[in-house]
Amino acid sequence: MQLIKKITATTIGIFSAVLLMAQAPVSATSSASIMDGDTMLVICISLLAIVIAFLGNTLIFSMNSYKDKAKLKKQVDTTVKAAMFIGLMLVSVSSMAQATTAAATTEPVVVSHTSGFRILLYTIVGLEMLIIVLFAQLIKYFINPEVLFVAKEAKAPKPALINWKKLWDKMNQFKPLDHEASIDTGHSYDGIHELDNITPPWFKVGFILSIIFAFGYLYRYHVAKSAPMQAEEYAIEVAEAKLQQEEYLKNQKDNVDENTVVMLGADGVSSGAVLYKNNCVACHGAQGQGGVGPNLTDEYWIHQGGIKDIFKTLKYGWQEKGMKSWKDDFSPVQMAQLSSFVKSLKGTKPPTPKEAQGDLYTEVIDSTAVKAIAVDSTAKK
Amino acid sequence: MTVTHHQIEYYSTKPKLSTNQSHPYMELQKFTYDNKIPRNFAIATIVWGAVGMFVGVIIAFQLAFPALNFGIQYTTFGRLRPLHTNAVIFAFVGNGIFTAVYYSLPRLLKTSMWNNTLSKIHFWGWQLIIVAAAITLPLGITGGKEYAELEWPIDIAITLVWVVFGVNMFGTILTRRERHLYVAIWFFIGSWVTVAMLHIVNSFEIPVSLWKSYSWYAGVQDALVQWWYGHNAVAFFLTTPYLGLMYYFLPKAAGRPVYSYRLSIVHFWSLIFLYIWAGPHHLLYTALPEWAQSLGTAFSIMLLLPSWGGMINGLFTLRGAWDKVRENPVLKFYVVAVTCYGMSTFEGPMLSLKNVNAISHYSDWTVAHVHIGALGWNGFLTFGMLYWLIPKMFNTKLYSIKLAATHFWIGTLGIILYAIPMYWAAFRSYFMMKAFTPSGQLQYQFIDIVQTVVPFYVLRAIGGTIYLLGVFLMVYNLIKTAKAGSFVATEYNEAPALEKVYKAPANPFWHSVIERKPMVMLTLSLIVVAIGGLVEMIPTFLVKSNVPTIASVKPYTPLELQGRDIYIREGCYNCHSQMIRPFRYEVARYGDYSKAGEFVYDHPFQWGSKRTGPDLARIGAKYPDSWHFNHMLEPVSMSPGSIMPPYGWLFDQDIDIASTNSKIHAMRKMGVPYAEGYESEANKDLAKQAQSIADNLKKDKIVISSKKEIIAMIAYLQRMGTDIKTDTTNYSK
Repeated sequence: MQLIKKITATTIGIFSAVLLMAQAPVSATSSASIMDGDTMLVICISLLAIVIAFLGNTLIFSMNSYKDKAKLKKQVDTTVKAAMFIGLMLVSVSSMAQATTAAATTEPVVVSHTSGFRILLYTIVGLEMLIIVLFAQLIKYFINPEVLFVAKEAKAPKPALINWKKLWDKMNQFKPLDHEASIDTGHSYDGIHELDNITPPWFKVGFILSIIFAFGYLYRYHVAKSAPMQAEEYAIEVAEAKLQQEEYLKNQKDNVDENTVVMLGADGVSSGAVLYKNNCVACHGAQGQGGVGPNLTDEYWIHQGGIKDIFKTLKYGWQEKGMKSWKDDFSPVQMAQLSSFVKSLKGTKPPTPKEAQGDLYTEVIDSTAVKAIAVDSTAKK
Repeated sequence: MTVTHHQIEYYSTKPKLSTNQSHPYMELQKFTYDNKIPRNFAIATIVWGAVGMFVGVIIAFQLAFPALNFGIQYTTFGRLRPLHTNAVIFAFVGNGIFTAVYYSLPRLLKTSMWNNTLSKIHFWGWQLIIVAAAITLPLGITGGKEYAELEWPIDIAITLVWVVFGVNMFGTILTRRERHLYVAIWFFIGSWVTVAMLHIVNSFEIPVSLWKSYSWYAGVQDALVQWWYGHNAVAFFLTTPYLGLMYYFLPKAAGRPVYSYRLSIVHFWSLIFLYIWAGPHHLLYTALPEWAQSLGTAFSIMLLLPSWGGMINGLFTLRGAWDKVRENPVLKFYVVAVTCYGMSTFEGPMLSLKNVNAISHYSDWTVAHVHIGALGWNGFLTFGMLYWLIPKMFNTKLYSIKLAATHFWIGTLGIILYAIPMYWAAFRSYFMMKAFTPSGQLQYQFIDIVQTVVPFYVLRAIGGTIYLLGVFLMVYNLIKTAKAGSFVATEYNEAPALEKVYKAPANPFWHSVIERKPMVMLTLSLIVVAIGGLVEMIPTFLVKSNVPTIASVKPYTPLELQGRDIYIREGCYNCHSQMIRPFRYEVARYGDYSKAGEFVYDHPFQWGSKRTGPDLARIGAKYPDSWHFNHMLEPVSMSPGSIMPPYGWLFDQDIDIASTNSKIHAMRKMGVPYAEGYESEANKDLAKQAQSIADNLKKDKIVISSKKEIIAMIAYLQRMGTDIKTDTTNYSK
């Protein structure tokens, strides 16, 4: 048993460590600001996690020292064994809790607009506090178990505020075990008897409540029609998002569209290069030489080669020719950066270019292109 | 084992109150219990269980390391996953059910099994079906509907064997020496009749050739029937027969009376009545009519307590026997099994709430949920039964109680390590899926999410491996046990025959009347389980407004149809859905949400239930032909970081044009509007379209014969979702 427990604990430990490591990929990709309330909570969670880590270590220490003592006495009560097991479990749980915290700190923007995230944070705080209380209790227990034992033997059990066992018995209306003969149904199937216990009252109540809920649910959606059907739900969601988006873009001076976009400077082009590398290489080749998609380095364009044309192509796509719309993937600024990078590829003459497609494009001199660069290339997504 | 000893002790002190005891002066009849058939079923359970779980472990690792199919078409995830699910459901649990029935039924009825030849036909028939499944599924012979993949000849074989089982079971029941039927038998009867109904209705298909058929139903209707079936396969194959199993083996092993006879009655009838309605909760937020979705949700919520009835009766039966649980591994397994049952039947109704389902559907949460049920409830209940049954049948003690206890701990650990990463992965991917930047763009590409969950797939595979190791311990332990004992092929018993005329007590309990009339019980069960399906299906089939037709939706061209069959053969639906839900993040990622009218020619529907890869409902015209070509040849070339395996064989194998004729014919028979006589034209059209795709590829310097399967695949992929593709995204045309 001891061995199994050790294996279990070690496995859980390793497991949670790997889980922690599994967080890595996301933290690398996400970068953004967070809302104030959430920040506070995340800080709170981190602090609590540190406390838990301290308590966890203390707990392990106290358990070890207790084990040594127990070895001397050569008498380990099974309940103590169980308590130690729970302790170990909790320590591993705490490391998982820290992992959750890590997750919360690294990807706040993912969920910053959901009220559910706030609830999640509160839940984590609550759980952490619970763990702290439990740890404190366990440490107390392991540091001086003898005292507890003595106390248990000497004192009569204190009357608890709620007698759970009694409540449970009452909830189920349990009959005492020695009264069983009186409720035997008399059935005997291959020696299996059946008792005539009543259905637990909480079961009946629960069943009735679930039926009420079910009919209420049907009534709400299909009779009263007071809850939105899925198409309406979608319309609401989209409308809300659109409002938020417009609100956001109104305050962004770097908002661009296909009419206002201009060729960016070196910073913008290099940002575009990064985006290109991560998203476009599969079809257009590492050097823009083309592949599944057309060559971007030559003078020939299927849909014109001006900066505005390229921006338009990116934004709306050319569905029937296999170019998808990227407006759900890239922000306007990113599309401007990408367009600028693509434009900068002209004439680079990569080693194995795809043959020319489309028409020869000659630059239309655009008065706006001369204007100062309006886009802050360092702006975030 | 000490259980039997305890049990004798308990019952010898009981007063004989039985009302259905026959008169003592009646002549005792001698009869036998056959142990050979249950032993054979038990061996089959163990063998297929190990095989099915091993395949599960392989495909779990494949999700992280796609190269693990070794480039062989027969071992891809898409083909092995149906093998895994079919093996664990129908081979492992199926044989587990039959072990329990063939062992307990004669004993509960004080008679021999009715016909030993039928028992043998049942045993060997079922094993042959499993072998047939194990051969055909990797070959890509599949109906393309989850948990009902087996092709029509096997479907017929299943029906026949199931009838043999039923005849044998009812023959036994009708020749019984016990007046009333015990609750375990109610569950066996209810399960038998419902599975028969589910299998027959869902397997309506029109054969095209010996190993190919199309589902009779299309699109939304097919989805409804399939999930009515799929959900109730869980209910009436994985749950109710196992409740019957529990009601026999748990009180036996614990030596305790069943806690509440009345609870048995309440939860049996409410469970089978309510369960059947819940199917549509697998289709929330899809194109299924919303009234049907709501029925699914409402009935799932009502299902919670009836399900818990079984858990309560199981756990409370152990009242006064908890001291035995500490020593007896059989009871340990039962306690965790019943607890897992309680957990997953709580989780189930929660998952059918719309807002929870929005998170869980298509995600690894569902996978975690079913595995709590499968590994915990079905697995552990089976293990407990075997640890109890094998020593008994070999008239010896279990070789090692300690080893069984170790198996218990390892198994529990395996379940935990399986489930946690899946829950975790589900929530992470959900939050990533729905993340938008403030300026309104999706924050993550699908591939980012795939990359994030891959480590969790590894952890899950490790959890599964640990669980499987436990099974190997059991195999060793049981072999040792069997070797130490000697097999008792036949057991003898005697009991008086039932009196011809039964004088019921003056005021019989109403339910006891049904308990002594098996045919009434059978009929009532059938009526009770038929209601839900009828109420949901008839309007969906007959009322036009449920599936509004869309004029622009046209039947597939012959080439697309062939491509679709390749899609089905490769089991693409195991990782890709074809159903975009009306959520902002899904529409932004995959395109406009799916409408019911788009699927009217989809025999079978391919909506899928899990998105390991992205949704494909509107993949058509999103990428050039050459993108698909390169992607199928080497997915990472077009989608770096992809965990999809390469499909090299599509580039070597020719399209099976000989089948086009019969395929078109079959489709028209089911109402797909191909012109009369189009069969003879079809292959000409097919060749023309294939040539145009090959020409198109040539423009991108790809040279391939237009006869190859990849051409058909590209045709189908490029067609998908384009019928009503709105051009709002294209600013000009």
